Formats: sequence, C-alpha cells, structure tokens
Amino acid sequence: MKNYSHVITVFSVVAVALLGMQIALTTLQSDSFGKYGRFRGDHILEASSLPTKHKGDDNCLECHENEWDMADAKHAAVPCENCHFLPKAHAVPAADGGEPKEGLAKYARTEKMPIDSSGEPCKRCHLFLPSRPAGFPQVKNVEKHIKDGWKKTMGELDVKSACPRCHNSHFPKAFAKVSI
Amino acid sequence: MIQKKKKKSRREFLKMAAAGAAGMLVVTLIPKPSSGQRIHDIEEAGQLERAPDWMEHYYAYVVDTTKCIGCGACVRACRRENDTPEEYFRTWVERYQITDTGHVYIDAPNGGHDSFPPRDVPGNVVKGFFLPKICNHCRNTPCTQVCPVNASYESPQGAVLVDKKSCIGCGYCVQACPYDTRYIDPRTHTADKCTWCYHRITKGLMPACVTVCPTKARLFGDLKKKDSPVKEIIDTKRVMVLKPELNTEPYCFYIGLDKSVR
Amino acid sequence: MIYTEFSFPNDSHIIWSLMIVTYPYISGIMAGAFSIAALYYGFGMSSLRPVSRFSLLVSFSFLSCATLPLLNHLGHPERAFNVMIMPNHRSAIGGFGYIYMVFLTILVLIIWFSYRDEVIRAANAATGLKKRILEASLLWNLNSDSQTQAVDRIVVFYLVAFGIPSMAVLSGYVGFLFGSLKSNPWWSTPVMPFVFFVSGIMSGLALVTLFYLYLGWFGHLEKSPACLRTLGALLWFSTVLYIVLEAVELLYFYYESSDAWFVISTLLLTKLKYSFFFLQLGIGLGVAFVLLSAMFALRVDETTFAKLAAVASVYILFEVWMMRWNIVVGGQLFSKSYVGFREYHPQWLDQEGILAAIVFTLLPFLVLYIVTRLLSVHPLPEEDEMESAGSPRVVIE
Repeated sequence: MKNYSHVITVFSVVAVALLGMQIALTTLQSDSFGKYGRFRGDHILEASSLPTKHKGDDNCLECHENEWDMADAKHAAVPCENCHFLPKAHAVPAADGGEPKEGLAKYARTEKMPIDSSGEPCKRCHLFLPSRPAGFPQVKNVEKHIKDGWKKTMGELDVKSACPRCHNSHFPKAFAKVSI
Repeated sequence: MIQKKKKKSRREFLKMAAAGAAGMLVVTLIPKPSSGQRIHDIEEAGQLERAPDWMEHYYAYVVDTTKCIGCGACVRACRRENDTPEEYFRTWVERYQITDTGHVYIDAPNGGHDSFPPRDVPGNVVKGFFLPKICNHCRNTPCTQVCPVNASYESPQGAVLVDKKSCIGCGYCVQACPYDTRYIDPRTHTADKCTWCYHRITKGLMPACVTVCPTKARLFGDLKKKDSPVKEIIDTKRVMVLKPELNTEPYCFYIGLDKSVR
Repeated sequence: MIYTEFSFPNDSHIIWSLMIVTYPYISGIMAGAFSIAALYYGFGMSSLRPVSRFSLLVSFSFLSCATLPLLNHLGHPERAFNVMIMPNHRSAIGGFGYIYMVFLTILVLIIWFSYRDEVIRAANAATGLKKRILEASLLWNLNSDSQTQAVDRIVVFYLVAFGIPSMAVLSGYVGFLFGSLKSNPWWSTPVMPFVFFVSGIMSGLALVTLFYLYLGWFGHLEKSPACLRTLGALLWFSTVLYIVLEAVELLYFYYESSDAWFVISTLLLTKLKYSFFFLQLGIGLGVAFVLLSAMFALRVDETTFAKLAAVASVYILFEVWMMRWNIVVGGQLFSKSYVGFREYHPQWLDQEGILAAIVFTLLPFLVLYIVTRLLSVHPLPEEDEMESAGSPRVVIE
C-alpha cells in the first residue's frame, strides 16, 4: 500500500473538493426552483404581478359615456388609448373628504388627456398604401379629398387643413365639426 | 510481485473513481426541496392580483394578415406597456409589396412604430400586405432548449418567459430563435422578448397589442375554452405558421400567409 | 421571387463578438497541446518525448485563461456560476461548467503526477516556508522510490486515457453549440464539432512546434529532428483532415441548395470573400499546406525543415484564427430574414473590442512564462521510462 498511498490521497482530496463544490452550489439554488417546472418558480409570480398600463375602454367610459354614444360603429373599434394614450394622472379621486359624489363629480381633473389634432394620427391608418386591404377607407390624394369635401359642405376651402377641420374624430361621418 | 500489485491498484483505483463519480452524479440530480412558503408570502403581501384560475388556460395567438392596415398601434402600445428599449422590438409590423415582375419589397421602418410612409417601388404593386410579427411562443422551443441556466422557460399556459434575475446574458437564446424575436436589453444586459403581456393575461385581460388593434387583425385566446374565437379559427380555418419546416411548433397562427413571407 | 435587401428590426447589432472568436481559439490551442502529451503518454509515441511535459504546461496555461473572454462577454458575469447552480442539461453552454471542471481536474492531476519527482527534489533541497509550501502541495507524501515512480507513470497513463475524450468534448462542444442551431444556416451542419476539434488540434500543434523550435534553438530543450518530423507529420495530417471537412461542408451546402443557399452564397461571395477565400483558405491554409507538403516531399536538410516548420506553424495559427472569425462573426453578418446583411466593425476600446481580445490572447503566454519558472520544461529522464513499461512503445524515426 505504501506505493499507492499518494494516489489514494490525492484522488480522495479531489473527489471531496468537487463533491463539496457541487453541494455548495446546489444550496445556492433558489427556494422556488423546480416548484412549477425546471425554472425559478418565483419568476412566474413576479411576471404575472407587474402593473398593467393600458386600462382599456371601460376605464375611460366610467366618465366619458357621451363620447362613446357619439362614436359611429367604425371608430368604436379604435380604443381610446390609441389616440389619447395611457390614463396617467388624468383623474384622481376628489380629496375634499366630503360626501361621496356620483359620476364626473367623483374625480378632480388634474390634467387634460393629450390629443394630437394635426391629422397625423389619422394618416397612420387612412393614408392610401397599396398594402392596405382594398375595402378599407383610405385617402389617396389629400388635396383632392379636401376639395371634394368642400363641395359637399360648402364650408371654407383650405387645402392645407388637417383632418379634424372637417371630421369629428369620434364620429367621422359627420362633416360639421362638433365640439365636445 | 510487481504485476500483481499493479492489477490490485488499478482495480482499487477504478472502484474509487466509480464510487466518486456515482456519488457526484447522485448529488447533482437531487433538486433542492422547495418550501411552498414563498407563494403564501407573496399573496399575503397583496402583490398577487390574478384571476382565480390563472393557471388553468392554454393560450394561442392568431394574426389575420388580410385585416392588418399597418397603423402601428400595436407596436406603440407594446412599447408603452412593456417599456421596450428604443432600438429593439417585442412586436413589429413588416410591409410587403410584390410587383408584377416578381420583385418583393419588404420594409419595416422603425418596426412600423410610426406607421408606414408611402414607398415608391419600381413597377406596379400587384400584391401587398402587412405582416405583424411577434414571439411565436413555440411548443418545441429552440430558445428554452439552449438556455444554460433555465432562465428561459415555458409557463404551464404555453407562454415562453425570461427570468431576468437568473439570465446571465450569454445571448445563446437570441441566436437560437429562428424568428428573430429576441434581443439583449441594453439596460438590463439580459435577454428579453414578448411575453404575451403575461401580467395582463393572468388577470383575464388581453395583451396590449390585441387590445389596441382597430381591425381585429390580432387575436388572442384560450384553447381550453370551447367558445373561444381563437380556438374556432385554428380548428376550422386555413391557418399557417412561420417557418414550419423548422418544427418549432409555433402557437402564433397566421391567416393569409403568402409564400413570399420571411 | 427576387428580394431586395431587408433585415429584421431586431437584427441591428451582432451579439457574439470578438470575445466569442477568442474563446475557441484559446481552447483549441489547449486541446492541441494536450493531444501531443496524449500521444506520448497514452500511445507511446516516443519521438514526442522532448515536448511531452512542456505541452502539458502549454495546455494548462491556455486552459486557465479560457474562461476569461466568456466572462467578459456575459451580460451578468457575477451570475456565471448559475450554469452549475441551476443548469439546463439540454444546453451546450449549460454543460460548459462541468466539462471545464472535469478536464481541468484531469490536467492538474496529470501535471501533479508528472512533476512529483521534481517537486520532491525541490522540497528536499528547500528550507523554511518554501519547504512547507512544497510539501503541502505534495500532500505530505515525499516517497520517490522507483516503484512509486512506476505507479505515477501508470496513473498518468489512465488519466490521459480519460483526458483524451474530455479534451475532445471541451474543444468539440463549441462546434456542437454552433452546429446544432437550426436558426442559422451557416452554422447548422453536423460537421461543425469536428471542424472545431481538428482546427483546435492544428493550432495547438503549430504553437507547440514554434515553442519547441524556440526552446531548442536556445538550448532549453534537446533538439530532436525526430520530434520535429513527428510534429510536422501530425500537422500535415490534421491540415489534410481539416481541408476535407471544410470541403465536404461547402460541397453539401452547394449541392443541396436549400433555402438558405442564397444567403450563404451571397455571404461568401460578398461579405466573406476576402476573409474566407483569400485570407483563411488562400493564405492561411494554402501556404501552410504547400509548405508542409514540401517539407516531406522534398528531401530538405534539418535547418531548412525547421525554418519551413516555423513558417507553416505561423500560417496555421493565423488560419485557425481566421476560421473562428469567419464562422462566429460570418454567421451573424446576415439577418435571419436571409435577405439582409449587416456590418461588424470591432472598436479598439470597446468592452469586447480589439484591445480586450489581444489582452486575453496574450494572457496565457504570461501564465506559461510564470509556470515555466516554477516547473521545468524538460521531459522525464529516459532511463526511468524503459524500466516501467506501462504501455507499448512506438518509435518513429
């Protein structure tokens, strides 16, 4: 045995070291690893607990029923948040501590919701592109469109007008602009 | 005498080596016992805000390219909802214009984020469409197969997610995805991709891109629900997936896919 | 269908950079150097005796620095041990931690057993702290009689026997990593692990040949024409094998003409025309192969043979680096749409830039310098070999 003792010693040391390292590393594994599958189980809870940002039309309609009633069927399909963006600090509960109020009075308005009235948002969908489906309402020639529209309404002709000059964004079939 | 000793030492050595290797193997295969305490802690802390049966679903996504108008609302909504970095996309829209001479012109200016400006191409465009792209949340995922630390995984509902706290940022999953839907987030130095808005679907909502689509070109639903429109489309209509020859089994189904699609 | 150029929006940057070119280069040299030791200790090629122990030191130096380029590339290097804490057994990179550990253990053990006699002599001659350190490194067993030495030889033989497949896996798994990705047609071929393995052997052989010529010239190692001829012959064989593998890979791509052939052919004829055909194949491989063939076909004298061997080795080292570049970076120069391309221009001072690559490539040489101050480059004395016939001996003249 004398001639082999160094072999046994060094292999034992190496085996213990490797085993020890693997055991130590396994203890560092997260508690939730393997709970739902071969991944850190806590993450599936974290991922599902992130705050949602888009609140959906129902959130806006709590107060803005008027706008919904006015929207024609086609633009009802366009969610409010597409053009008005996320409802950040738009409305907060009134802080006066008085009796609970109904409807719009429940909230204090902090800032106006943004809206781009330059006609750019409209062009994003309605500018003519050959790749757009054929049945979708598109405007090929903006100047001609404005001139034809002027003929119909006999309003003021301004070929540089933006779309909201004639079209109500919520009820685009109306040619006379209706203020909200 | 020397010969016998040699044989004995060889046998002893091999026995020791085998025992050592077996021991090591056994230890690595034992998973650490999980406490189950964890989920209660999170629930009681009020962080849990999920639909009661949030695990009992099996999701799928449908894109109807015959309806997409290329407005880019989905790309903008996704960026807002998920705080995607500026130069990368969790979802994007491509525009295809095919002329009568057989030339295919594809473009995706800023991923379609600001819609599409008119693009003049030589020749007459005889076929054109928009192609929204998204992580396909495959069943035979090439990306989770190659993640070295199990940071990328499939949830029980079929969504493929990335655990940013475990990801080491090696980029192997980004290379492995054939659809180029993954990227390394330059702010967190980890892999990132579309999660089907996991934080929304587990509360019974739709992903942001589906919520804002004005033409119902993007649909999302639960295959376990009998009356789900997504289930009806997949079961009864002619649907296709991207790169089917790679056998990744995507769960994002397309209606109206053309042979020119990349 | 004729496509005009289009790249997917997420394809703006390449993610596997110079660091991922440097890592297989270093691990390839490590594998090639170990193969020389393996041929001597495992297969008894006694003509390689002069470089037998030195190549172990070269292999160890390069192995010790192999992980550094990878750690530099990772988004979160502090989590690098996750590959052993929560590994994915189906992932090639996931196996890296274990593959590396196994081969490191085997190589360190081989060096421990090979250099035991020398360290025992040093421990016996030393005093004080140095003596205590040396004795601890020997695990307090200073037995060095002839039977113990015989045992050492046998243990080295078996360690080398386990070390060869381990080394093959460590240098071949990188090829598997690339070759198993169906998403990338330039990488996706079953030949890839062998291409990486053989080119690694080539680079290791070339570097050890250069070192041997240098050490022999300056008298640190005995000059053996037989050893140089064997190294040259091995280099020639591995070069031929590499040429065959690359040719087969390209031939299959061309002949099958599958959907990605358009992008591969455009890649080769435009983006990689200079670096692949001219630099890697033309200059690197072509010149080296001609020189190596001339060394054996023409009856040249020893000095000319040595000079040709040196030049051929330099070209081989260059060729293997270009091969790593063309595969790793070349495979990312086209978009996954297969109809678009992008550029890669590494900067000098990037975190994963040119300066970092140079530093990581030169670091193993520094480690080798330090190691050779501690351990001798000489092989084991010849008389002890003959006594302990552990494996059959093959003599190459």
